[in-house]
Amino acid sequence: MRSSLHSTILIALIWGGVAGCDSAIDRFPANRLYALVAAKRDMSDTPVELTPIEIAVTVRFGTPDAPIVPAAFSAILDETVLRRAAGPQYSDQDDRHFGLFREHCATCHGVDGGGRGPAAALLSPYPRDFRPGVFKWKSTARPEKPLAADLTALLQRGIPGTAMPSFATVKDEDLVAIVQYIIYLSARGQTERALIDMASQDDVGENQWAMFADEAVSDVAQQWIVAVDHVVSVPPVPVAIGDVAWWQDAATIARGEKLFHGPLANCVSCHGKSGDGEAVTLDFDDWTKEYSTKLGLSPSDAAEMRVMQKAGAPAAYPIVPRKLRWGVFHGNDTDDALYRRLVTGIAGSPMPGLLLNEGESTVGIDPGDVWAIIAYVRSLGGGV
Amino acid sequence: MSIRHLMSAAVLVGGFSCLSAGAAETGTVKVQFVYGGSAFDPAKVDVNKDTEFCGKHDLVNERLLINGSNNGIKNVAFYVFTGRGGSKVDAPAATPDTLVLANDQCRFEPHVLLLEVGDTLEITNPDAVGHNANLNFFANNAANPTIPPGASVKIEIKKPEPGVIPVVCNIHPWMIAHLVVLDHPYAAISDEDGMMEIKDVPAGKKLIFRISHEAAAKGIKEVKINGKVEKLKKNLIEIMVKPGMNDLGKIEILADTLTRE
Repeated sequence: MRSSLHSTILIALIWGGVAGCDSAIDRFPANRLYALVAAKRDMSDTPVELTPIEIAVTVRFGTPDAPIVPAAFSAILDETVLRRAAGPQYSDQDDRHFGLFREHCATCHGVDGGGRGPAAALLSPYPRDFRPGVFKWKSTARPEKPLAADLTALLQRGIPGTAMPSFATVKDEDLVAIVQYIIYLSARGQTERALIDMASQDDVGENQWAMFADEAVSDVAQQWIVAVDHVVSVPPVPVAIGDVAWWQDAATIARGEKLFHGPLANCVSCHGKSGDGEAVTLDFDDWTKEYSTKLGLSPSDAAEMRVMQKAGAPAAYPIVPRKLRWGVFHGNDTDDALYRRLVTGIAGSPMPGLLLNEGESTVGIDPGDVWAIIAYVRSLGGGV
Repeated sequence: MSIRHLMSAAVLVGGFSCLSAGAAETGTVKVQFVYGGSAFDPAKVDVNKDTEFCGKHDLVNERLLINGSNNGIKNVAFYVFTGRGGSKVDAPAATPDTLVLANDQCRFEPHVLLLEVGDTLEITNPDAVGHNANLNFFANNAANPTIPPGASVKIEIKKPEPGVIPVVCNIHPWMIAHLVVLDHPYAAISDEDGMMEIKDVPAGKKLIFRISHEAAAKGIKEVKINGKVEKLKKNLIEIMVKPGMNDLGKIEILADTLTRE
């Protein structure tokens, strides 16, 4: 840990002092970590040769200084807008900022959105790696991509309780550019991973790269385009009784308390009695699991983890169930946000989604039950 | 009966014989996986959640289950490998099945489940406590639903998976199962005697099979087939499948290949 801290400071000094956010960067770093993960998963002796993959991805997505929008993304990404977020940081006489991603985001998230910026080693939880295409905080169903509006709202709010700050002071048109660039980096990263998978699992002939790359781009584009069809609809909140808010109603809270501690929702087993977080858990988020438990490797296996960290993995992050008594919710604490949290869970984390009753079934949870649990949870955190 | 009828009947009979003679030959692959060490009792699990309900069942760590009487290894997955360096097989059009993974007495039953593309995975909860099933797919959509007592969730399996997929219950963290998701049916999981049979395997050619086990996290580099040492690359083994029975005998996996933790 200490040597990684030293090298981080060194890198930050070099980047800041010699390179700097205002210098040209002619290529994205290759995703060596995922190449290593794929090799271990597919039991290959060596990771795939990355050069043809980097070429195929660069042809389609461009470079850190000169982004290209693949045709499949033309409905949701605009190259002129992207160009303001890409490239070196500077501002013009009218104080229009350029290189917005490097100005605001790359220090933590890295130039490629891989979550390994110079500051990343100092942050817990580590900054998001956008390349798997998994996003926690959104209005859409668990396996789906977020809406651009979800990402914008997140930038404005930040994620209180983590190192992700609010960017509410940044101009709206700048935020639009940054959100597009996040989608761009995520799509680029996901395409790169898909090609690594293909190369790792089968032989790809030289003349097949173009076809596979176009297929991968099209696949990823579809996921972003259809996200809007997968917004989790939120039913109306319970009717307020008397002059207290619906979530302060004693009967609703009591119902929620029963569900929280009962077998249907079983919140207690992870969140502890009355949300005190006393339940013993040892679990990791999916970003950590990808290079450890999912490969049958333990995050406490120092030798194996060193190999992964050399390839670019962050230190394994044990994920802890939210201490609900704190009343701090990373994904926002509005009615809508909390409802979606309970019904879809949190993508990339062990937090599951509740099974809502369908049709005539009464075995599981009703929307009314979800609201009751939210009322109880809010009562734990001293209310909003 | 007129001559024309007789001739039609002859053609029909002849036609049927031609059909059966032209049918592809298949074989059955039979093998027993045994442990190259002494059998042991699996370690008990520390039941630290829902202890009232889950503590009633004698839960053990199912990572490595060895049969005390014949050293058979349970839950070995053995299947035709169609990835890089593997075989090409034409799988027959699959009849979609629904396969059940049950949260039963605070463990997953079965511990290893075989699925084919097109199947439906039904995850049930016959227990009195709530469980969840965190499905860490690579290719299919990752999912993580809670499953209340008595309820069930259906997941469509749309793509084959490049690796064995862990399914965990986050509420009861000792609970883990594994899914082997393939695009063909030529696969089996060994029983508590380490025995398995794969039927209707296309015969008349060499096929590459993969041996996969949860406890062999660092790969299976060497096995003993009926006493003879064979080195494996990527857990792969080549079998010449003849029509009829192919009894491969005993495949022994060395003790230090399989770890208990």
